[in-house]
Order: sequence, then C-alpha cells, then structure tokens
Amino acid sequence: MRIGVDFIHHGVTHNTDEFINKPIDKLEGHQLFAKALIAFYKNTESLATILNALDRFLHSSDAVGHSFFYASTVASLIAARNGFNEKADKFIGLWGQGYLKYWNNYSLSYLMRDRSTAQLLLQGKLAPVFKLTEEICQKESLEIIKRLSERLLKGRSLAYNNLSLQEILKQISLRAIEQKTFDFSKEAIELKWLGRQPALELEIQKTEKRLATNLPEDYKDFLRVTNGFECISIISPKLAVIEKVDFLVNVDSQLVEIWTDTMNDIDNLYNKKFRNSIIIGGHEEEQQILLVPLDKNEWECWSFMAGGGCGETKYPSFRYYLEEQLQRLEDGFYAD
Amino acid sequence: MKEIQSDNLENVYCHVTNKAIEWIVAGFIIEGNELLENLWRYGIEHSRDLWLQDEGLQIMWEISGLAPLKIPFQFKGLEEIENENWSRFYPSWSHT
Repeated sequence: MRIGVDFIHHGVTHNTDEFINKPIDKLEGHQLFAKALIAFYKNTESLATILNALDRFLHSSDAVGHSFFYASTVASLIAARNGFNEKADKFIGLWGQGYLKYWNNYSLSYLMRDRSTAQLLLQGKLAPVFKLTEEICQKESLEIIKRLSERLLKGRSLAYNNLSLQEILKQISLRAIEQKTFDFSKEAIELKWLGRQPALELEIQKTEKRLATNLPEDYKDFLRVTNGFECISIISPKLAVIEKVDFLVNVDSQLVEIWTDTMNDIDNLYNKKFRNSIIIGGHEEEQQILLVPLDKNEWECWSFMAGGGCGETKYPSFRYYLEEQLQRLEDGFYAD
Repeated sequence: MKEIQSDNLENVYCHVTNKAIEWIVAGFIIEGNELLENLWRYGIEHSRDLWLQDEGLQIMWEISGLAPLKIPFQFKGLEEIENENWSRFYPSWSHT
C-alpha cells in the first residue's frame, strides 16, 4: 500500500510523492505549478521563489486554456496581496494576454474580487493589452445600446437569416476543421464537410409515420442536406442519422423517469414536454439534442444535459441551435 | 453583436454586463458604468448567474468611489467577498 498524499487541483489528482521532495527549480509543467501552490500554503518556500516558479510555469507549454487562467490569477493575487507590485503588474499583464487567447476559460471576476488586484486593474494597465481607448468604448457602447433597443422592440430573431441551412452547415464544417475543435476523421478533413449524404424523402416520411408526428420543417430541411452531423467539439453532441431518431423515452426511459420524477411537484408542463420529446442527437452521450413539441405543431429545440443538474438550454427552433454553433465557432469558443 | 439579436434575453443581459466588465477591468470604469446604467434602464431582470461579477464590481466601485446609479443587486461585506475568492484557490489533499 502506498503511503502518501494526493494533491487535488480542480478535479485533477497529482500524487505528491512524485515531486514533493524535489527542489522546486528542478520541476516543470504541472508538477511545478502544484509544488508552487503547496509551498505557498505550507509556507515552505520564500514568496520570491514561489512567484518565480509560477512565472516559469506560465511561460511553459503546459500553461494553456484553464491552466493559464488559473495560474495567472493565483500569481497575480499572491503578488498583489503581498506587496510585490512590480511582479503583480507583470502577472496581470500575462493574465490579460491569456484572456485574449483563452477567453472561454476565463472569469474576469476573480481579480476584481480582491482589493489588492482591483486597485491595480483600476490603473488601466490592461488598456493597451485589450487595445481599448475611451473612444472605442464609447463607440461600442452606442452600437450595443442601438442593437439592444432593436432587439427589445422586434424580439428575438435569427442572426444568419441571409444564409441557407446548407451554407450554415458548410460554415460550421469549415470553421471547426480549421480551428481543430475535435479529432475529425481524415475523410471529413479532406472533404471539409462534417455531414453525410442527404436523407431520402422516403426515409423522412417513414420516420414521421413511425413517430406518428410531423417533424419540424427546419429539421426536415437539415435532413435533406445531411443525414446526421459529426460532433464539432467534446461538448457538442453528434446529430444522429434518421434511423436513430426516436422518442427519448424509447431510447433512455431511465433518464426520463429520473428527471421527470424530480420535476413532478414543480412543473407538470415541463414533464409533458420532456416525455414527448424526440431525440435527434447525443445518443449515449452526456448531452442530448431534443425536439420538443409545443401546441399548434410548433417545436422547441433543447440541448439537454442531466449531469451536474444542468438541465436544458431552450432554443425557439432547431435552426437557432445550429446558428449558435456557428456563432460559437466565429467567437473561437471551442478553440483551446 | 449577433448574440444581442438571437440569444435569449438573460444571456443577452449577461453578454452586455460582461462587455462592461471587460472595460472596467481595463480601467475604463466610467465607460463601463455608463453601459451598465443604460442596460439597467431596460428593466430586464438581473441574472442570478452574475453573482461573481456583481461582487467584483462592488469592490471596483467601492475602492474607486465611482459607483453607477440604481444598482440592481445587494452589496456584501468586502472581507466576505475576498475570503470566498481566496478560498477558491486553496488546494485540497487526500491521504491514501
């Protein structure tokens, strides 16, 4: 039996036996980061040594995405709280550069939620990093308020209305492959296409008959372009081929029972919608894509995730869901 | 900008708040506050998902002395916010 201590950092377990007795200057990568953090909390190294270790980690190839965000935040906080202002300025600068690259891994709040770092942020040290000026902020502010007024006046509307469904799916394919958001097949990369052959009209009709329902038009249009679609990232489910489209309750009755049971006393309408939903993607995955029938032959689209009690994200239609995927790719949301 | 048109209203509210925070973090607190005041004028319900941002903004406003008008959330104690923030970075151990 091993006698030792595991260091658990954001769900990742590091066996400290492997590195805890090694000198900090001999360590690299995540072991270096873990040792620096442990040394800070156990007070076993000088602050200067710890900050140098964090600096070295931040310049290593292991510091990407969330690791970069986490390490640069901790380094900024430790430096600022202990009066190492020059170091704190440097770490805040790195933190800001990281935000431009890994924004989807970031929360800007943590450095604001401590007076020592908040004071330094207020001095405007990140303005050149974010390439911001008063004029840029004012111009963008006017544009945002104009768009917001229009939105509230006209309601929610599709952002890529000028594109056909086929063009949207092509754009999604091109951008996902270009950004390497997933380990795509060689064939998909060569074809620059994450879809398949179109479904036959007869197959669509058979499926409607099998389910005794009229599927929403935008979903049928999708099937006429491609019979299914590959997942574009680890958090985007695969859209199924038409043969697999079925009522969720037929595919995963346990999920329906558990989820509706917890909602029983809260929302009966929710349960009705969930029980009648049709699964079109995410079979045997963490997240499912559902078509949810409403009254008058209208449909919502839900992206549903039971894990962590996340539940559903609702879209007014399947097309809204697809457009959000394109929007995210344009924003670099899935890029590490 | 596309999100303002097509996303649900709670997300739109969060997107605009986060844009204001980007400016405030870069030192443009007056411009960020103006954007927030304009956003709040629309009377959209304040999102509970923004509690971390709210606490960060509270500290920025208190130490700068530049708070906007009609803030749609309650303030907390500064010590409480800082202690919670710091505790997020405290590592944990398990003995095997």
